[in-house]
Amino acid sequence: MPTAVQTNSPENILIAAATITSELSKVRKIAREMSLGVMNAKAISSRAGEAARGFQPITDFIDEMAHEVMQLVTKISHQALRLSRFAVRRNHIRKTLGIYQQVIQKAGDAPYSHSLDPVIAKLENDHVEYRNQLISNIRTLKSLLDDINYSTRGAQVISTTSRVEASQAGEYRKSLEVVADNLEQASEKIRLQVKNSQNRLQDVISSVMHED
Amino acid sequence: MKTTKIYDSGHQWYVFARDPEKVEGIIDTNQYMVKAGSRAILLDPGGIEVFAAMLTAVLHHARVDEITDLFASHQDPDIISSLGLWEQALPDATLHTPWLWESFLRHFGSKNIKIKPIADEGGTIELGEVKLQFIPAHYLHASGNFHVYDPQARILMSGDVGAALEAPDAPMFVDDFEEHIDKMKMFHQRWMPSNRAKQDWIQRVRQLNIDIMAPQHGRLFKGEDVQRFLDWFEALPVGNAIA
Ligand SMILES: [Fe+2]
Ligand SMILES: [Fe+2]
Repeated sequence: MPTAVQTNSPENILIAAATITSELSKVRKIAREMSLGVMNAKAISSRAGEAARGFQPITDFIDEMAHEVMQLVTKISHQALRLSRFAVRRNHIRKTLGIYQQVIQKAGDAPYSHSLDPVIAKLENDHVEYRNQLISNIRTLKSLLDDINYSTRGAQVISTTSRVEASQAGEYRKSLEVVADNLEQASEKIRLQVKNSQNRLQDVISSVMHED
Repeated sequence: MKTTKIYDSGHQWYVFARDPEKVEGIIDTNQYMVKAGSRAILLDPGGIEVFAAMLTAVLHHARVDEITDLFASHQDPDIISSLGLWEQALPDATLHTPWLWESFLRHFGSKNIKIKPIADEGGTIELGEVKLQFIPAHYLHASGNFHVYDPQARILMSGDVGAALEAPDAPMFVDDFEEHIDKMKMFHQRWMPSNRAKQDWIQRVRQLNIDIMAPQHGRLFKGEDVQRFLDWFEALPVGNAIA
């Protein structure tokens, strides 16, 4: 019987969803900066001409990655909002079921208390259904976060490659090395933010799994 | 929750009130049920906080599937914030309420309930053999507001009109009208905004045959106390927050 809601309280889910959305707005900002940095790198490599020829595919890659990440962040924000709405609806069902169970206990000897049986059965059913859907919503969110990691997985390799390319760019070496450094730092920051959000979601999942 | 049967002749009127488990700081309310054969209507079914006690009390007198209709005199939380909870038990019920509040009441956690808006002029509902009338009581105190009159039982459910603030264990009926005035005066002067609306209502209600006037808070009026109330209310200036 669901009594007082605790760790799995919808409030926690709401807080997790809101926190994730705000953490990801930082990710969006990083990705936007990356994309701006790419424009700068493109300008430098075109001035460097032949010396920085190998840089073209690198800037393309960074640009693509930044855009992918921004798109995913948008998707995740929508999903987080959906999750919050769902958590609120589920909380309503959960509380309602608790109240009806209280009524059944109190009305034990009332001549018409059994007329509530189908109502309770439906609420119990809805409750399970909502819980499953909540878990599946959380999993969707988690896998979108995985997608961000997937998008940024090549950043490490690419920044190593761009260092090699930079070393051959003569007087442009320093400025191209900055591109490599920025990419490395940005993808590390994104990775950390995503990790935070994933941990938060993991906590929510385990509390929902262990409720009642 | 204390249950009192106030009419029983062919059909029944129940009042549910004076909940001993009521949360501190919440105004006590009278909820009503009219039962006619295998159909019932709840009048001003109450707030979220009294829902459990109210449903428990109802189950002593009706099956949930017999409750086919709900009525909300106006949009206040003490009237109908329990809507989202009732909706679970009464998926097929119809809520009768002033048209003015239809889209507001959905904020009380209700998604599916059928709402039948009552036009400003009022209306009727047939509950088997029993015909109830929705009597306009606009601006008393809500800008869209109805009372329920049962011509057969000669009962007027009068919402916040006739309400009194009093002890949680107060008796169900007024026994000394003069003494009762103190408990009603501030409520009517401050909650009721319009003298014109008040006169309009008094004129309309004076044409009804009323044995019992049943407000949503405090004691019910019966017999001559109904006329005493109308006279007192008629003479009372209301809307007193504006000097
Ligand atoms: Fe009210
Ligand atoms: Fe009220």
